[in-house]
Amino acid sequence: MKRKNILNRLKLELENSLPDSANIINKVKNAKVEKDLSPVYDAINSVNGTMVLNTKYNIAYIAGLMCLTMLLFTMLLILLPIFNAILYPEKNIVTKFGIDINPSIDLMLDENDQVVWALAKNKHAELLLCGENLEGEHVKDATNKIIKLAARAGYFSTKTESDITNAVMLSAVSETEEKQNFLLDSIKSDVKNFYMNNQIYGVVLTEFDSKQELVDLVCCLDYDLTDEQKIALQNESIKNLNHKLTESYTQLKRRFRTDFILEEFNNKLNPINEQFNSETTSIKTKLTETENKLNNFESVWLAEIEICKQKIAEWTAQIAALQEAIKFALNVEEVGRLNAELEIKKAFLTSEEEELENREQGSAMFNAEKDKLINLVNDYKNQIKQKHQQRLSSIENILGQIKGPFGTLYNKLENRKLEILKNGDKQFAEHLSHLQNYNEFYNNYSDWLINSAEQIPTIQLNWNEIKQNWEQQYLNFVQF
Amino acid sequence: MDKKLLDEYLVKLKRGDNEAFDEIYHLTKRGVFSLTLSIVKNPYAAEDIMQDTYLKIKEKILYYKDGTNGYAWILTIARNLSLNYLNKNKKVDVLDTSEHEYLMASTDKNFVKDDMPIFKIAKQHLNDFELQVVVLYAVYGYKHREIAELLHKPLGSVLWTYNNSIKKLQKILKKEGKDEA
Repeated sequence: MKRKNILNRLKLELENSLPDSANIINKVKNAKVEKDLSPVYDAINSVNGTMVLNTKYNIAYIAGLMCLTMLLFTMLLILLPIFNAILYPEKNIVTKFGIDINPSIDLMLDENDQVVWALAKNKHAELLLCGENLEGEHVKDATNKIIKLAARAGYFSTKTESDITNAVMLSAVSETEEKQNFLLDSIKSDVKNFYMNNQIYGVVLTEFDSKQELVDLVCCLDYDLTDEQKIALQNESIKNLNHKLTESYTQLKRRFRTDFILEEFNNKLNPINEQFNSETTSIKTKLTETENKLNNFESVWLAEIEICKQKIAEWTAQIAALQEAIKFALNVEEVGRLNAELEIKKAFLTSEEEELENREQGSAMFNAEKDKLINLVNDYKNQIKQKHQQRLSSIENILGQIKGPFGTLYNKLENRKLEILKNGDKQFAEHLSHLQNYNEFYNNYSDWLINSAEQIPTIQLNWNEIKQNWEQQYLNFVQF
Repeated sequence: MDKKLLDEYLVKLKRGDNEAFDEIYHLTKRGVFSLTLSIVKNPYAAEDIMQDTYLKIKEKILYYKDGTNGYAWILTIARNLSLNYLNKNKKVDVLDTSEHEYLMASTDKNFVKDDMPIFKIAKQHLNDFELQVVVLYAVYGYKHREIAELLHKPLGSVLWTYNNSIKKLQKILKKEGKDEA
């Protein structure tokens, strides 16, 4: 069979088996076919840029859906407080637990020591707790989390063993003191463990037994603090107090050196000296002049008598010459002019003769003049002395300012040393056990205090040297 | 086969002229039937699919883009529906034999009417692709290039398949003594 025949026969077979056209056309024409209007909506959307509601989701369907949603929402609103009350009963705050690193956080705890809410007391704390939810956590877990966060945020330094800025201050206010102490003790040991595990050198302090001591220590070491500043220290954070303590300690160590002490002394002395000099310079000048006058008073007095005598002789000679001239005058007019001149010279002579007589015979005038000068000299001297006294009292004050705190400190050191020496090992053990309560911080300072106490003789030697220097300076002023 | 004419009728149908459907049907029925038959290999099923195809055309007429190849668009719909049918029937292999005879016939892949000997032979000896190529070429008068586009095959493959299929049919018919010419 040829190809064409095969194709024709196949075509014929298929043509014959074609379904009844009329049947299909009728079925299709009569069938209710919903036109897919998606292209129309797409075209409208693309033209207007607005969404057209697809009629597939009719209004009734959407309205029903909205009603159902609203119904569910309303039910949820009604039932939510009920579920909330069942699932989360209201909790009473019975304890306030404070953690102060520099971020300061207060944890409000219920009777099971679970955090009801956490209060950030400063910006650092707000940042630290940002994104953290401590509610419902046990206070130990919450504290642990806070310490870890603080460590991660770089609030703890791991530089040196003596870095006393790593301090955590714990405080608790609860119904009973027992609970308060229990909380503080347990959490303090947790934080200590954290320090040990993370090789952080620092202290854990509790407010009731440490802050006041810290303030006292700062006040003791920093004698430049005014009373107001000392009161203000009570409100400082532990970290700031530690900083102040470090600064005061460093400053004090510097002050044990003679050169620094003298420098400070001179710094305070200079303005007093300047004031003294400016006030006394003019008085000194007047005093010198007056004293000179007093010393030369008699010789000046005698010299003036001689001058009077010379002037009398001079006036007498001139008068004799005028009298001779009158005798040989040519006319009356010349006689009259010479007579007038003669009268004037006679008046001068009479005056000088009286002066000479007074000086030679009047001791009252001499004594009055002399006493006047003596009084002036004494007055000037008194003025200078008064100024000097003022200056000396100022110097005494400065010495007192510098010496006073040293005295207090030396007394403290001496007392501590005597206490330890007197009561021996027992007192020392008690001392150490007491210090252990304050951890490394007080250990550091106790070490320093003990070492310092042992160095008292050396310090005393230095002190004597300083004292001698001061005394020398003082004597210099007094001698003047 | 006037493609422009078909395009005009499709546009009319799109604009709501329901009478244009008759013309569309008459112009495309052979192609649609032969394609569906070549795929599902069952005249009854092909008839159902054909009906579904025209229903789908009415439904999706707004998707038709004016001035494009309307034949290709219609045949694509027919082909897709045929393939869907095949997929669906793969999953329904077991049917209750007490059902209607028509249903049995329509789902029997090997059912062929008695008055279709050549198609029966073709169906037995040609694979799916060969049968589709032969039927589309023979009945609908598709060109090889158009068949290649429709079936997403290279033109060379279609040409080679067609020649090979015809030779195969020639041999079989000769062997079976049905070669009358």
